[in-house]
Amino acid sequence: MRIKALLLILLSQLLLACESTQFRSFQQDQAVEPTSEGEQRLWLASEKFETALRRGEMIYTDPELDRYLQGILDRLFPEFKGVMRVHVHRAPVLNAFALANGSIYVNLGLIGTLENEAQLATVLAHEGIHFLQKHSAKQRAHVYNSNTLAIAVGMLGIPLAGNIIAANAISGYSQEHELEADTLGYQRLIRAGYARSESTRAFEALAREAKANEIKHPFFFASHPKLQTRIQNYQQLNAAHNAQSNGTVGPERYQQNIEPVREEVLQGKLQLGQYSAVIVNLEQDNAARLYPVYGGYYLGKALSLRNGPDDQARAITHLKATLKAFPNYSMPHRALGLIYLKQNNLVLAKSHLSQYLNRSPQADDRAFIELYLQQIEQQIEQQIEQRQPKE
Amino acid sequence: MRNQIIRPLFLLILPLLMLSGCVTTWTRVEQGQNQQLDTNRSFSVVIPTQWVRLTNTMNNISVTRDGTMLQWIEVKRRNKEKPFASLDKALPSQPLVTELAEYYLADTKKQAANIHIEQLDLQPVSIAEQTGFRMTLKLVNSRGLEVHMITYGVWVEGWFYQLSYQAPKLYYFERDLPAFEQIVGTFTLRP
Repeated sequence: MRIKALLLILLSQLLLACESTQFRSFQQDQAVEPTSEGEQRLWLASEKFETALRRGEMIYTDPELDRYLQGILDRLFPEFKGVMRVHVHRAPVLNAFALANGSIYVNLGLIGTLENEAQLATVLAHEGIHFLQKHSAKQRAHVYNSNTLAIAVGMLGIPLAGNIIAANAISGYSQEHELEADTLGYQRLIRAGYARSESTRAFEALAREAKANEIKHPFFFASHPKLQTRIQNYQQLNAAHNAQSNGTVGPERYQQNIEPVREEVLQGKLQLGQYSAVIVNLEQDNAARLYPVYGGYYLGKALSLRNGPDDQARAITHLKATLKAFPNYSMPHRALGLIYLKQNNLVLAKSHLSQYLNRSPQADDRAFIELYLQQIEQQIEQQIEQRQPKE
Repeated sequence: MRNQIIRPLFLLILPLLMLSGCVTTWTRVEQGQNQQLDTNRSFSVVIPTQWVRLTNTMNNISVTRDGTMLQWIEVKRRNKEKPFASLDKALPSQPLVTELAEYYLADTKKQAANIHIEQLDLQPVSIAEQTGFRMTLKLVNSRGLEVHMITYGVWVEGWFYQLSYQAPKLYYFERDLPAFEQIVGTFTLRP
């Protein structure tokens, strides 16, 4: 019985070696299509997965943004123009993933967190390599051959391809595959003329947010330990190549294309309760450039909602500073009014909430603010009555 | 010998015990039994006759007419210490109603991370003589089914009470909305 089991394990390991070597990466002069039945299944599963994303309204549609992102991807992989397509995944969390059929998805949250084009190019180059090197197919073969899981999966009839797409493409591949994506992706950055010194900064920016986040996500680009590994890998690559050499950084072009998305990303993160993630992004030195006008308001709001020690006082400071810089901006008045209302500072609460409504008469939350103002009026009247001497 | 009997018996009983926890019990609301209480007897609502109530749930009243996929109304009092468990943060002792709505939305979105959720409307309301909110959400699943959800939320003495209704936008949502609003109107906190 034991001998049979040993033979079975030996056979599975031999098969693993066979399967892993049969996947050759896509080459420039080759047709980009699945070359085995297993790959074909993965392509089909990827298409089904994309259909689900589309039907579920999880794809962010902005033709201008799509064109800009596609331009970066094509610059990195010019020989695969028309084969690799980039889409924006409507999710405020940090992530990007490549599917077996050549579709690359970048989360809105990741786009809104990065600082320049070279940083986004680093992520796209990394993901593009996962596709070209067929990492999902290799990983799939590996999982199929890791005996117990294959048996369990087979018995239960779980569609493994779907699992692999979800588990690996989104959460990350093996260390070996990730290292390969780092190394080959780095070469693509050099060839495309991007400033490679920005590669480490891209992952540092993501790691900063991932570390701060109250909610730990299983996604590859939201995992602080995995990002630390990326930083180390890219530091080594920078040391081996001349990282100081010039190249495109593209902060202005990136900001111009991404700016409309940044505020939406901040809103999305707040709607997901990622208060510390918003705070850490808005407290960095270059926040005023990345988040003009509205940055101070979202910082104040995030601090107020997080409600930690000193958060309310810090929120007031930032909101007042924003009002000083942009006196006609209504939102800081709203946030200040609500903080003062919580602190029972009725006079200041009334003043700021009234100014908010004066500046934004069509505000969506007008009914709430009017209700607060009524309650404030009643409380002020009660206080006056209590102070008057009784006859 | 004893082990030979007990072990197979244990292996037989264990899955049955585990499965029994999964069995849902539905009870039809009959005429005269319309007023329903939660298990803690902290609140009551009046459920229309012939609707069906899920009876093995704690601290909530969960009802449907044709099945939970077609319409589902849930009235519940959330855990006092952590009403929004997925946020992992301490709430202010008396949150403003607008903040309460934001925490509720964050918790809902976090719990359904792979579903597109969009806030369509948010209005102040009065529930059980307290100021609360009424939030309308649109949810779209991976098959493209659009479900609408209305939640009334109110904070009373450190407890978060929630009355939610969800149904596919197509046909069911509008049809059963009046029944839900009627149930909301009967929501009463018990001393």
